[in-house]
Amino acid sequence: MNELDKYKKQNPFIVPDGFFDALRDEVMETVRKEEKRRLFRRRVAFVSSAAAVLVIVLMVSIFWKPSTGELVAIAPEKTKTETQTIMQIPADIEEIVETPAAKSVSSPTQNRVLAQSQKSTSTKMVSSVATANVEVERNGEITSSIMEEYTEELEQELYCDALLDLDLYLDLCYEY
Amino acid sequence: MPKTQVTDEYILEMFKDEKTREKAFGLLMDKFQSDIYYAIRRIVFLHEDAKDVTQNVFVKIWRHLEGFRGDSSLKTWITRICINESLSFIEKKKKLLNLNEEEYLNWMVQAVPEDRYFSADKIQQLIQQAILSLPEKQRIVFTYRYYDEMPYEEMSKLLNTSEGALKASYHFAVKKVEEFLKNH
Repeated sequence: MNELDKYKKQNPFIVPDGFFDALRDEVMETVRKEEKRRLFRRRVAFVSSAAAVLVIVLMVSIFWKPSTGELVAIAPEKTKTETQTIMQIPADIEEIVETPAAKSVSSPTQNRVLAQSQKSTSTKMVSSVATANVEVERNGEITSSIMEEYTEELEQELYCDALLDLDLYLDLCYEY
Repeated sequence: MPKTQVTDEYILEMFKDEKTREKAFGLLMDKFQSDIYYAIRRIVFLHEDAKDVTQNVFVKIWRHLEGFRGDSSLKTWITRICINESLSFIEKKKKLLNLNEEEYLNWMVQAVPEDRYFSADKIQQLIQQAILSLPEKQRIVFTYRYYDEMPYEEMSKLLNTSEGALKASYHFAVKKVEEFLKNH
């Protein structure tokens, strides 16, 4: 290490004359350009952000439907679907009228009665759907007496049920 | 203001303000540019390469000085940038010249006597060739300790290596350099 120590204080690296002054000028010029680029990028970023916000605001104002609070692109099909389902009921019920059970009854009169009773049942079914606040067509005509018929029939059924329960009760009383 | 009186705190404070940033950077250059250049040149050896890396380092300092947290001294922070940029430069140069580690070292050793920006003294050339034959990290340890007498404590923070490992590395580097001089 003593041998090496002799040479450690000598600087073997040669630098061209005026190198450090020229280096300072070159570096300062470079950082000035760097700063200009940074400020330009910042301005571009600001303008881009502002433009993006403007586009979003325009898009929302075009497609937003304030009255329903929904976007125009979404149009609920529910009421139409419900209407279609309800309208299908009469067609299904028509099929019931044509069941083999109805056909097996011998006399035409009985057939007619059976068909009519089944139709009345079908009317009841349609009427019960009417309680969902949807008007239903019966025989092609909209009638407002469906609710009245339904109420009447329901009362009759309830009365018959009540009488039946009373009979059963009395029987039971006699047994015990 | 003479450069010896300019404190790191003063430079950093001026740099924070956009209006005085350029002036602060000029003061930083006056204070550190010589140290920066030689810290780089010791690793990359050639003057033209050292000039390129030095400019890169100053641009890096300009971009990142605002984020300097003061965990180490400003000089240590700057020297760390110098080492990283120098090693990165060497890697790029090896790829550019399509040389592996050994081929690159041999190429550098051959370049020493032919470099017009290096001392013509034969002993100095031999010492430099011996240093260039060391692996990069060992070269950094040897040159910073040998030429700059950098304390091991400071070097430990710089290279993120224990003082014991650095002392051992320097000891082996000295042996290799002495052996090289004996054989040449």
